[in-house]
Amino acid sequence: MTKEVARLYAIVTGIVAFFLAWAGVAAHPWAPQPKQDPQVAALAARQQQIQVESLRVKRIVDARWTNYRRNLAAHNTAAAQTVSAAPAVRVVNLPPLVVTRTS
Amino acid sequence: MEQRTFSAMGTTIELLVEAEDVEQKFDEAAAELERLEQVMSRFRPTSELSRLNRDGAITASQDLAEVVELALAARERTNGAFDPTVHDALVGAGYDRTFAEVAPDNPAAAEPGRCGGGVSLDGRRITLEPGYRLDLGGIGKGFAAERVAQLLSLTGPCLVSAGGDVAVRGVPAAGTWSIGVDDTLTLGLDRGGLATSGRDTRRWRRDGAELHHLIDPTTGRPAVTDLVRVTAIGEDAVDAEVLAKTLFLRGSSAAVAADAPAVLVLDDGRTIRTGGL
Repeated sequence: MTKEVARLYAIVTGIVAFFLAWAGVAAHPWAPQPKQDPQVAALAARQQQIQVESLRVKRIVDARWTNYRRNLAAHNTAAAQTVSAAPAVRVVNLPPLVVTRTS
Repeated sequence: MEQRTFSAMGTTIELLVEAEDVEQKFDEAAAELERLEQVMSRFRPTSELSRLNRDGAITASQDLAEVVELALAARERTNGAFDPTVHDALVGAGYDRTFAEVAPDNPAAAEPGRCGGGVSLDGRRITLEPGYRLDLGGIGKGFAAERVAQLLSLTGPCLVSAGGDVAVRGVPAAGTWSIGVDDTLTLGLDRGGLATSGRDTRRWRRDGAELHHLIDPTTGRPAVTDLVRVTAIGEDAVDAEVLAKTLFLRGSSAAVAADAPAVLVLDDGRTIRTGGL
């Protein structure tokens, strides 16, 4: 290896070391971490609270909807039974309250 | 049991309610019947039905539209045996005024009338095919009986009889509503309706021929049948009225074959019960 080549390597290495050092200094690794904005923190907390509340409301609505569907089905069944049961007539041995006649 | 009997809609109205202090409700029921008669009577020139028959088309009240809808549905399910467009056939037969005013005998011959006319119902807009008019006598009484029964049921179990059309709500303490069909037969009705149609009461003579008010739409004349009277039971008074009239028009053989709950009185004096009675 000639002297010139060794000098070239030294210069290149020096330049690389310079830029690495520059980048390290520019990053301010010794500077303190910035504090979180209190408004952002409050918003994040509020968001989490709303998510929890929405889940709770969804559970209530789902339960009420299920209950409504169950009651509606029972009502429809009762109504169908009422319709299918009408009319009800039989021959009786009672004095008539009214007499039907040709209208 | 409280009871009131009075005349309305060209027949005898009987109201029975199993409750006390119902005089005010009876008054309301009578007023409602008067109101419905003013809607559906073909004998009152100022009635809504008369206006429809005169003009051929009107935007009707909810009540008239509802009765016409019921009549058209009945015509559909009876294949035309029940027909609300028999007005001119009734007039042609001589029933052109209230029955009390119809002459019992008249030398003029009866004329057949056209039936089966078109009736369109669009919302509350009723339009008649030119040359046809409506008679809602029978079905109107059934409708009125149901309406008044609904009104009276707010006070307690009740029965409303509008001539032959009976509507009931609730069950009385006796366990059933006992309704006399003839001297020997009484039916107990727990729910639904009952109606009687026949040619034994509303009848008159024209040119020596005995006529009645039940028109056969296929001939446009009073029906010729071996039945004198039919009492039928239906889901309500309207349904029973339609069934009674349809069975009457079809005659005893078809009525027996139908096997609907009914009591048939034949012109040979026999009484036949069908439909498990």
